[in-house]
Amino acid sequence: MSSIFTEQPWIADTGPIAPALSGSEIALNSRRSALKVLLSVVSIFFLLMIVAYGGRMLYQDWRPTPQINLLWANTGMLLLSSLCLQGALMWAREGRMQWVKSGLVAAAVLTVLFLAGQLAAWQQLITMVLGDFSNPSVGFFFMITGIHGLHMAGGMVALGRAIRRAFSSLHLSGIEHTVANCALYWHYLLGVWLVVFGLLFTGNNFEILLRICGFI
Amino acid sequence: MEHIAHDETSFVRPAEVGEMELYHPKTWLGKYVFSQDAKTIAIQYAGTAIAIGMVALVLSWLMRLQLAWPNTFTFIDPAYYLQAVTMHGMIMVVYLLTALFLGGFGNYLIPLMVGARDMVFPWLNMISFWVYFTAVLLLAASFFVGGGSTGAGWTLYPPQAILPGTPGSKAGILLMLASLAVFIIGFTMGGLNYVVTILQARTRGMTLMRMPLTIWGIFVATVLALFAFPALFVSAIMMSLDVLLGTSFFMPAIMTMGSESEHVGGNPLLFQHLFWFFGHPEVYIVALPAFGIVSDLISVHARKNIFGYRMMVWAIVIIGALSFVVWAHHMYVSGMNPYFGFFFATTTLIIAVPTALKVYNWVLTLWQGNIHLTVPMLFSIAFLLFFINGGMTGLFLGNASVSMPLSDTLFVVAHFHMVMAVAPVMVVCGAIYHWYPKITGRWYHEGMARFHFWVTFVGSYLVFLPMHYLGIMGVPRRYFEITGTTFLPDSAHSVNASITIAALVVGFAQLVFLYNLIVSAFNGKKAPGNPWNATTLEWQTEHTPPEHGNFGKELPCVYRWAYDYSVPGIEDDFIPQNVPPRNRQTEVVQ
Repeated sequence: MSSIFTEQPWIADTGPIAPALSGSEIALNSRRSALKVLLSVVSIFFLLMIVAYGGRMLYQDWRPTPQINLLWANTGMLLLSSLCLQGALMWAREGRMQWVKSGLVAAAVLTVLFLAGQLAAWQQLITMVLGDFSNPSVGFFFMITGIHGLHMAGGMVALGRAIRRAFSSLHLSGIEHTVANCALYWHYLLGVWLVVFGLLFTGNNFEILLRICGFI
Repeated sequence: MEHIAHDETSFVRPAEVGEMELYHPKTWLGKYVFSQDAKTIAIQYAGTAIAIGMVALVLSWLMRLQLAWPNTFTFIDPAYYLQAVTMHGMIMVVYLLTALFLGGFGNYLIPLMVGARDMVFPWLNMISFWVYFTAVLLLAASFFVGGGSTGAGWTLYPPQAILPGTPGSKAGILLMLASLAVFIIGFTMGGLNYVVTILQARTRGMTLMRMPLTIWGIFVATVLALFAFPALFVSAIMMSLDVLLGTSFFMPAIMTMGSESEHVGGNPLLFQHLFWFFGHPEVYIVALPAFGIVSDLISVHARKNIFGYRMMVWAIVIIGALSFVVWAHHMYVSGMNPYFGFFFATTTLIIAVPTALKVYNWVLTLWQGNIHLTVPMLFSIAFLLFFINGGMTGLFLGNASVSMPLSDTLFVVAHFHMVMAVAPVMVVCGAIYHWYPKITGRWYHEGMARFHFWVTFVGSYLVFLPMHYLGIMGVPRRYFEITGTTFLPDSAHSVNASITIAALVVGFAQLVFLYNLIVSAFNGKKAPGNPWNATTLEWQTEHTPPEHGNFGKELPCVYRWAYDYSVPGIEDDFIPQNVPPRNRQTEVVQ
């Protein structure tokens, strides 16, 4: 990377050129890179929603969302599913196929439970606000949790393919990369959820942060 | 004099790039409709973008007819006019220029110019086009729903965008927001492909700093788009929820049509911040590919290496980064802390530095070059003139105190059309003529092309230069008609009429352009593989047009940058990137 600062491109090569990536290498590296680029786009996406939330909080008439304790249990589910995927990755590296399968299935089940829990939380909030969505913080809650949930559901497609692959082959060739990509995605979305949950949907942490920064 | 030939000596090992597994279509549908070949997808993108762009062109004619001769065309009422303004703006900026530069040129040129067989995710690439196509259909559908398309202005500002007095405040705005959201999803798929292909599928020897500036422009613009579009996506979702669920993200408590709306406590300024956090980088999403392409066009047709290549690359990167911290200069009149205004005016002026640097470098590339006044070169020079003109007026509008009186006048319309409409369109036309022989294997009709150039160039000036004066006089933008005012002399109305005539003529020239492109693709003279004697890899393919997989049995190996034109001591005035140096003395000492 540093060569882009020092390279003098107007001078032609006169020695051997470093080897390029070959066919299968390109495919493997590309998926990983694409995932990283996608996650950076997702970060901007959630960051903007958090900034918008904070911007709206600064107004006098801000009314916070009622607290929903179920979110703690949902967070636990997501944390566990992330751990299961990390376990699956570890076992894939060690070549323990049976454990990989168990880890992947457990992660999928826990993610489904997380999504079901989020829907239950929605139901609770709808009951609490009596169907009145005019409070911006309620709107933000539905939007942010909804978009996070959609991302998790999208991840389930990839996880489903990984599970099918794990059950259809006896050997581990290639599955390690698939599991690694799933694990990265899950860890990342867990991180996003922890930030969103910790900052916006539990206590008044974001308000404290904005006070510390001098915005309020 | 040394003749550099395609003989690979022992100085550099031959290419050993691994093969990429290519998709081979088995049916007609797979080959031409649901194709996974980036070149076919590029043509699909370009065709769709130009088709919807023609709709926007017709809308601009209708607007101009109304402005020039108010009360003459009875089918144009105020609501219709506002709808035309809105749809023209949004289509041209997002659905034409963004899609054409990134989806069209990006798809065609990235794999060819970096020496790859195809994009790294061909299937995703195909899906990306069809999602874009769906977005265009959704947008077009809004013309036909009850209430018509939205008339909120291309910035879609709430609260008026969703209040009953605005045309298309129900289905129209929802279809627009849905279409934008779908567009962004499609673009993200394509954008991932472009970025990863450029980063990972470059052929051997193609270091980042040997990439043609076209690729740098497309690369940085894609990164900008990936990071800026989420802001539009978020605001589209939030506004949709305000319409559908009655949330109050952007909608304050408001009296509308004599009754209180259901909304309380929303913040319209929040939308403006989100919109312009996307909207300003969008200017550069369109401009940066144009900057890159025009650099290559000027270099090839002036037979000279680009002046200050590294500076040009860094200018693109710096402009891209700075474009994220200038957005609120679009909001000077929305009300903001004066210190914010000062900050955004300062960053806006700072971004002029790398931009001016690029202009100087283009001019210095032309300086003492062996300039061939080919059609692509004519369009490149025209780009420079329009861009300099539009950039200068940008200095007026970037300063808060000067911008305020000019805000919402035709001066703004003239400025942004000069800098981000006509200037990039000049590059689009130049680029299409430049790569046409490679894409079709045939020549365009030279006479028609030159007619197209002169009418477009002179006509666009006749449209937008006088518009500055109207703006300074205080003629407002987005007004259905400006009759009955006392502050405007009759000459202002005459100018309006002349602008309309020029706009109609320029529009007609675009029809000639399209006719030329379509007819010449079948009847044009056969073109050789490298008619411009260019150095970049797309001109070195075995077949013209390039076949599926782009290159022959082996991928090319790159030994040099893309700008070896008129190298001293070399007989040919260009050395392609894949020609190895014969020996050190030949190139360095001579």
